[in-house]
Amino acid sequence: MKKMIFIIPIIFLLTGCYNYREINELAIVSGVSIRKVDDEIELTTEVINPKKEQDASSGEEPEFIIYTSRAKSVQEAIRKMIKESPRKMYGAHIEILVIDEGIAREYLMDILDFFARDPEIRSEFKVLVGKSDDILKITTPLEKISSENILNSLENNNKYLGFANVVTYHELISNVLNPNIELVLPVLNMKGNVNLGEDKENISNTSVKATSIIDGMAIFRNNKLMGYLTEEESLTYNILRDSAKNFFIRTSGHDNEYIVHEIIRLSSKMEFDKNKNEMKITLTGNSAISEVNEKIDLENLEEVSKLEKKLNQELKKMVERSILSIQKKYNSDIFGFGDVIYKSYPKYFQKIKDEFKHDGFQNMKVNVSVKIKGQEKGSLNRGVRK
Amino acid sequence: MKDINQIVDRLKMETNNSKEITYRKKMVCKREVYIIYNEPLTSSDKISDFIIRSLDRINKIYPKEKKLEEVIFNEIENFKVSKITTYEDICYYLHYGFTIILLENSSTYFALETKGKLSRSINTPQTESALRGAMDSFVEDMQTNMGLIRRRIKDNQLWVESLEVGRYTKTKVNLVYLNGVCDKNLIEEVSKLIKSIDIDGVINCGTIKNLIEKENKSVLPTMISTERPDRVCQAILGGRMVVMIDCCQFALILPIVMNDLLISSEDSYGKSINISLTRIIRYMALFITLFTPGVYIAITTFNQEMLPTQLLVSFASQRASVPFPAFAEAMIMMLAFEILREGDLRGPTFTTSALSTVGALILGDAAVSAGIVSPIMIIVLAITSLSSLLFTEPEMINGIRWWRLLFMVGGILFGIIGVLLGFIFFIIKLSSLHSFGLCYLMPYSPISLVGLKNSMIQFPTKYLNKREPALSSNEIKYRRKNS
Repeated sequence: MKKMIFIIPIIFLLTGCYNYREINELAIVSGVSIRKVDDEIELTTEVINPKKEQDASSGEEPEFIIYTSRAKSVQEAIRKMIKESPRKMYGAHIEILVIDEGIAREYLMDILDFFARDPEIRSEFKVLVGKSDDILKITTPLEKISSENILNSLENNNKYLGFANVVTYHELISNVLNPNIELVLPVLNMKGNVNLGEDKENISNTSVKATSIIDGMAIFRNNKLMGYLTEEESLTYNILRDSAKNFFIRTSGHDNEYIVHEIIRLSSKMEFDKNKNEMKITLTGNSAISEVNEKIDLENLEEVSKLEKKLNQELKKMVERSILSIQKKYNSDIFGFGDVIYKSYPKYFQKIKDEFKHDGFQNMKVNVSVKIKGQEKGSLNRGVRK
Repeated sequence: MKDINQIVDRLKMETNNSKEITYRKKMVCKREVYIIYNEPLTSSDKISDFIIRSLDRINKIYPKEKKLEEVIFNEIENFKVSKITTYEDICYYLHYGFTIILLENSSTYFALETKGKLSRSINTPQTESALRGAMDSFVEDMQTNMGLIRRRIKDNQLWVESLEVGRYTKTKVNLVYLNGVCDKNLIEEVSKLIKSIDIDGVINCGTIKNLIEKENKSVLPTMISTERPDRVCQAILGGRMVVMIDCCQFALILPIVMNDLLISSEDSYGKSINISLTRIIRYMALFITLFTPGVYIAITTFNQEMLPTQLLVSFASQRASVPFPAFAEAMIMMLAFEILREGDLRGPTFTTSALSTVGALILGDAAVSAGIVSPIMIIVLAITSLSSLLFTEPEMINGIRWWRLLFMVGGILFGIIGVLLGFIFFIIKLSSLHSFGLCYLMPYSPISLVGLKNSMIQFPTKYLNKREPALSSNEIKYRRKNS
């Protein structure tokens, strides 16, 4: 009992300790953008402004506040923000990291360490390449926080269009460290006028003056930005990497006639044929007809199977075309062909590694087979057009 | 033996000539007879209508009878006539509301039952209400209470061991159990414990409870006190033992485990599948009331990364104007609630409406507008205290507070890790706890398949065939025959 009398006050006296911070003393960072200015790193953070709901006067306050600082290193830059901010930056809730085009072209490897090393920051945030500065500053109408706006449109783009891929920081790091596969990041761009977008007025109009858009994907070689993919190339990349969940293919008939297919449950499989030195790509999945602008009877099984064939051909053509253009234009193994060979024939790949990196990928033959099954046809049996 | 006048004198002297004890002298068959009774304890009707009248009748019919003892024993109109011989017995019966008849030149005296009715009538249960369930509850009179039990269990095997505790109060303590079902070692142990109690007085079951409880360092109860006869009978049938104390309307059920505190007597009315959901909710409530403040403090002061961003922003905006740390805020609100609850329990009934106004408006709404506490803290407090009120045993509600405080301190010191450490300590403490030899976490650890059927999930009565082996002696294994 005497011991307890000593211990209990000690418990209360020793409270000011490790990592203790009240929730209202945090500057919750939701987005970070990073660029290089004259040999220094410029860091921009978007800090959420927690507004009091009942307070009428706080309606005037912005939803988030932008802090910018420059230093030689990332860590210094983020700490120097304290100079202008009353609170210390809290990084556990970072949702996106926007890497500027300039850094992506030259210095990508220089900035990666900090975000992976800091224990506070979770490596589950998404990474994009920013084509324009100050994108984080734009006020956005539906999602109040601009990082969240970007994150949601990125995820939905990947989910319903297939033109962008979602890369978490963790994936970025493992991708950068893996020599057998090249990096691809989604691209963030700006539409409209930045100076107007910064203002709160931007969201008081029905059509915004400036907005951020997800603009395709950036292709890297040896962790350096090479260029930007077209929509078709982006889609092909996502199909082959199994990250396109839902997208559309249009098969055209004669005289501007067309049918739009929605591809669902797509899965791709890559196999390396050592004898033929050929990559076999098999795509399987289902499709649903989502728009018909052609004279066709969908109750007729023959016509349906013809249509299915046409769709498979169209998809095959598109994939082959895109792979070829990436091979010729960038010579960057973003599909991970090297990784496939390495995983099935590790010893063989060790031998050809250097050669493969040089022109092996470029000259790799590709054999695409597509097996999409048509399953749903929607609520109509025939097209509206007669 | 002694002269009866001597006895009367001694009694008068020892009671300091108490006016409450009436000595009535009468001549019966030419012998001096003293009728002594304790007036507040006795019913005057019974004495004058039966005892005095029958003595008069005896006097008329047998005026010259020599063997008066025999005649009185046979003829007196009372259902309970005991022959006593010692002075101690005289005092004992006198203070129990008996009427004593002293005969001149005789060594045997008579004690006649003339108890007055000092107890209230059977009422509805006040502290353990149930939607369905018997509406009678124990009263302060042991006789009535035993009657309520006997009415439900009509068997010779319902054994009662009567003991007496208290130097001055001489309180009757009954151990009630089913012979052959209840563990004999348990009966022996408890009766030995009660017999060894040497105390001035026992006014309620709390004294007995504290004196026979072995786990005095634990804050959680190892016995249940109840005023519901149906609950007591269920416990007896389950192989448990019940301690009834005279002049106390609560009976003690022992031994009990953690699981029993989460079972209501009403559960047997419902369908097992519905009851199971209720049980799960009760278990969840137990965890909610234990952990919510601790986890809230830990998350908002250490582990902010655990919250979704939206929620974090909402918390931060609510706490923006609160000057206190989360722990102090929580302590203020907990203290306010405990004071409110105590006031509600102790205060007279007509103040409760004033209390609820103060509680709801001033502590809830105004404290938030004044910026003393955040709205989220009010929600945390509300769900915590609401969940704690699910348990009928007040000892449980009170005991839980200590553990909650421990988790809060753990949370403020080390965050979620601290809460976890507290939880580990909690589990260790619970599993080392015993209630009269029964492990406190019984159906779960050590695992008991029979017990599990009536724990967090209640199986249909059809499948509850066997008795809990740890609870009963193994003579009668089945509580229900398979059909």
